[in-house]
Amino acid sequence: MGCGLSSAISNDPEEIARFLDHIQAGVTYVNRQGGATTGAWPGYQSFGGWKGSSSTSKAAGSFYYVQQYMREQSRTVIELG
Amino acid sequence: MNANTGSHNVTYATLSMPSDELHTRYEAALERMQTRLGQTHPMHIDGQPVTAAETFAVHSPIDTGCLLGQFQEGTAQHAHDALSAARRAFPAWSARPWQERVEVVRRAAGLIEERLYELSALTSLEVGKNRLEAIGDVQEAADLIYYYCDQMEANQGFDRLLLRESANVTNRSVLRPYGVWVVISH
Repeated sequence: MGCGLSSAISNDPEEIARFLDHIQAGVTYVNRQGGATTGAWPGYQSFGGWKGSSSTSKAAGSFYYVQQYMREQSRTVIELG
Repeated sequence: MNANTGSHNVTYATLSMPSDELHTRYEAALERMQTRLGQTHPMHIDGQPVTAAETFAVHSPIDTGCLLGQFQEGTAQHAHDALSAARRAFPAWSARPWQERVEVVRRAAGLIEERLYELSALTSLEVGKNRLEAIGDVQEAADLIYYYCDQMEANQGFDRLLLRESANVTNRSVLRPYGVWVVISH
């Protein structure tokens, strides 16, 4: 299955689109000079991998994470009267 | 970084251009922490200090002659005790309104932030991270907590009204905590 945490590429505009569409990683950076594939920060980048680099493929520090610690319950209450 | 509170000492930007103050405070904290190395530390289970039959020594990877401390060789029974304590606490904790839980957890993040430089110095000593990496890691620990608190608020505690088919019906979708989670790290 392999892993897929973080990845990066620079420069070539044609390669950039292909990279973003096809890379199997949860974190991607394009043209980033400092710390090419590391240094995600909550609210700026989500941080989580795909495949063997993850358990749920929903990343930390982003929109879909905290919900994973909860289960959904539908509550229909009918008032008798 | 949490956009709502604006109270953070350290952000992405600070770390790319660290101030003199950041260096001074880190170095002062490092000095303070170095006077506290080599002690024996208990585990904490159900709010109480607990010791095991055996301890093990931890040395700093950046100076293997530096003894960070002696730590408890916890057993499966200790892990079981901790799990049981958490399970006992769960009903009362989960029954508190989500707004209260957010407040408590935010306070925990605030305590991490208050101790930012001390915890960063300890991180450097324990895992050998340079100061900016260490400070970033500790601030991020607080920021992740703030972030999820903001998420809870932005989503109204994940307690949402759904469509109602008639006036005497209330339909809601509620996300409820699973319960106790165990984290095993090494």
